[in-house]
Amino acid sequence: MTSLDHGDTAHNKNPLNKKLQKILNPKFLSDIDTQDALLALSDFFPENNVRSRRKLRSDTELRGLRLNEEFLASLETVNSALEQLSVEVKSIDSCYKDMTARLGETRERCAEVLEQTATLQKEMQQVEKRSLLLDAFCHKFQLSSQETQLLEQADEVGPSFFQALRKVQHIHTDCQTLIRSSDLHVGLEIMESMAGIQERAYENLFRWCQRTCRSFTGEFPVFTHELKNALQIVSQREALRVYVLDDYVTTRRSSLVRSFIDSLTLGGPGGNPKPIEMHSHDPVRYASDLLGWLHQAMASENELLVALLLQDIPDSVVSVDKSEIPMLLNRICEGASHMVKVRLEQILSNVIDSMDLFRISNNIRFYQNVYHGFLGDNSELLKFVADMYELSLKLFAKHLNGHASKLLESVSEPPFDLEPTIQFTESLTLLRSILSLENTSVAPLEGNRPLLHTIYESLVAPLIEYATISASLDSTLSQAELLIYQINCCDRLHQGLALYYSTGEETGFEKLLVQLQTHQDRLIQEQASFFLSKAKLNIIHMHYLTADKSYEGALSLYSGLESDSLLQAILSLQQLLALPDQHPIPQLDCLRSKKIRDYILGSGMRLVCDFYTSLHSSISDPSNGYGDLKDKLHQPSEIEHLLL
Amino acid sequence: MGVGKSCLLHQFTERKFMSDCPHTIGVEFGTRIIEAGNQKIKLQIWDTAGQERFRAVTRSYYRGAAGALMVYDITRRNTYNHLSSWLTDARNLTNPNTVIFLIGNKTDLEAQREVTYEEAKQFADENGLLFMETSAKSGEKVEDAFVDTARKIHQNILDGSIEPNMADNGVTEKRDTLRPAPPNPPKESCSC
Ligand SMILES: Nc1nc2c(ncn2[C@@H]2O[C@H](COP(=O)(O)OP(=O)(O)OP(=O)(O)O)[C@@H](O)[C@H]2O)c(=O)[nH]1
Ligand SMILES: [Mg+2]
Repeated sequence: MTSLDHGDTAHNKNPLNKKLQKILNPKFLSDIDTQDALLALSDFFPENNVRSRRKLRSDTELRGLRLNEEFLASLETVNSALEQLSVEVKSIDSCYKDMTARLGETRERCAEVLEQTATLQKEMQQVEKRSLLLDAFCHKFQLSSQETQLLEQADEVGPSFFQALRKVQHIHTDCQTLIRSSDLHVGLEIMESMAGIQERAYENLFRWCQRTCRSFTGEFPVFTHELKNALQIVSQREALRVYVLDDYVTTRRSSLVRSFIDSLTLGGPGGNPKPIEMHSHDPVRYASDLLGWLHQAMASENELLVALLLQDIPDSVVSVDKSEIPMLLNRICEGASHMVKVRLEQILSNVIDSMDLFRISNNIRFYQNVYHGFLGDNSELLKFVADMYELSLKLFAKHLNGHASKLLESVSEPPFDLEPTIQFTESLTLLRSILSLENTSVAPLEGNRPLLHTIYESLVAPLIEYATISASLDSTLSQAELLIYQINCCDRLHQGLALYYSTGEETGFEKLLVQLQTHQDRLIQEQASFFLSKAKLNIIHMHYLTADKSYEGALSLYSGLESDSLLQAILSLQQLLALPDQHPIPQLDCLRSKKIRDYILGSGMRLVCDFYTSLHSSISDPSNGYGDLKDKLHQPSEIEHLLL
Repeated sequence: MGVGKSCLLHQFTERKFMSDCPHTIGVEFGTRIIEAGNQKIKLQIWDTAGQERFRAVTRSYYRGAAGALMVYDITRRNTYNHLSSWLTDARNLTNPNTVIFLIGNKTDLEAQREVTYEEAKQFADENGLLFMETSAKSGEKVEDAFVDTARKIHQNILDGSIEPNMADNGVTEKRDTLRPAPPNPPKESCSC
């Protein structure tokens, strides 16, 4: 091939070469038409021979003819189809025209409809808006039927109840705005209906509170949040609050009475601790148990009232009146306290022993203070306790008076030793034990004026009287002995009582002190006169006192006060000075109290010394004309030294 | 001088110490609510006077008690020596299920101690008492003393040895609408 290519370029212009080229390189071989034709030819020209070559021409023509005939036939089919199409197109056309006409008509009508639709749509929007508004209004100004039912008929009260009730109240207030801003009529109508519902709700709530309160029969009821809340709301109607609390009080009162009866008659489980009544034979213990029981009950009930009315009250609408609690407490305790009262009265009137009576009386007084802490002033219960106390005092006074009149019926003479008599000492022991009971009791005597007064009037005063009467029975007694006896008696009394009349209150006890002092003053006088008469100075003393008042000349000229008389007396005084055991009144030893004894003697001698001093200065006064008598006398200071 | 009952109560209810507390006259009263488990228990506590002269009054307060705390002063042996007489009262005047707790108070004064822990513990064991030493001053164990007493009472109720709502046992069942189980408020008394 390479050589051919060479040849191609080298022998391009050679014609032979061209021919050769043509033969060697026939174009038709690459021509597609020719190939197709050859392919078609191969169908009916299977063999290349002369005969078939001759026949080829006619065959080809025949074939062409047949083809044309076939074509014609096909075209005829096409034509008929076209004709049919034309018919159909014509009918479509008429249809179309028809439709167009109809469409025209419809369009006209449609315009109307559209217009209507637009109007309707507008209306629809408005209606929807109104409906929304109405819904909002209803929501704001109406209750659901559920809520209404809850408020008016619910048996149980829970959070949803309060929520609904709050809503009613909101609606009610909102209505006021409504009335002001727009529809008076509607506003009033709703308000009216809300007021109705609220009223029925309150009624229902009130009944619920009542039921709940009536269920508090146990010892320690529990108050729910709901109850406190309900009570607060109900309290907006004062009357309803009163009713509910009445029910509460009644329930608690009977619960208290019941448990009191149990304590009285049953005691603890299996009778342990023993029932209170078991101790009714021991009046002090019995009274103490009764009063102590009431105290415990009162404290518990007080706690409950505080929990119900004061502690963590939700959004408190009613201002709390704290004075309400003592009042309610008083009423709750009424029943039980009445039972206590009846029993106390019975005990008091049956007590035989004065000391027991006194103990009980003291206990009552103690509880008077204790109860007062819970109930304040002016409560019925305290009045009853005060009555009991008064009764106990009265009975106690009666006991003491009985004792005193027995004492005064059989007064005996003073004993030889001038000590109090046995009866006196016995009564004194009673007095002592009463007063020393202070140590075993809970109510201090100090400051208890009525009691101290009773004790004075019924026991102390009769004892003083006893001493006086007793002393007067023995006419052989000297003045000094009488005084010593009475001082002994009064002093014994005084010893036991000193604590109780130092308070400055007037109880009568101070009279004892006055009495004692009077007796002592008189005995001091007695002592002084005793000494002076022993010293033979008593006559001189008498004259001296008289002269001192009415005489103005020289004393030595006064009858009885002459130098000689004085000298003699002074000599005997000087003798007496040397004998100190002769100075006191002999019976002074019978004074029980050394302190009083010393006091009487000292004060008596003080009087003597005072007289001596004054006498001495008169003698020393030259104008009295005693000359040198004074040189024979002791100095007053020497006498004082010897006598005091 | 008192053994410190009022101070213990004060410490328990107010969490404060009273350094110069006057003698109690008769009886006083305090309350506190404690929680045990998820129950609220209200304790009503009666503080009785220890002085002999009030005994006639204070005896009446054993009656309603579910528990009693009997207190002595560890720095004064004679307060300990008196225990048996108080115990007799406590036993005679309460019901058999009353929980009695022996308390030795004033442990802050360790240097002046006159009664050992062991000795008192033995006394407690012999008499079937619960025992604890406290200090009302420092507050040590005060809470435990009261709370343990309450727990013990509570336990007795669960065991059925105390039946709530009987008269005079100091325990009452209360029905709380929120909680179905019964919390129990014991009353307690202090003595000695
Ligand atoms: N150091 C110390 N002192 C205490 C403690 N407890 C109480 N006190 C003191 O002891 C004294 C008596 O305490 P109170 O609580 O009054 O005693 P009480 O037992 O109530 O006395 P009465 O009421 O008379 O029975 C007070 O001065 C207290 O300050 C304590 O734990 N430690
Ligand atoms: Mg105390």
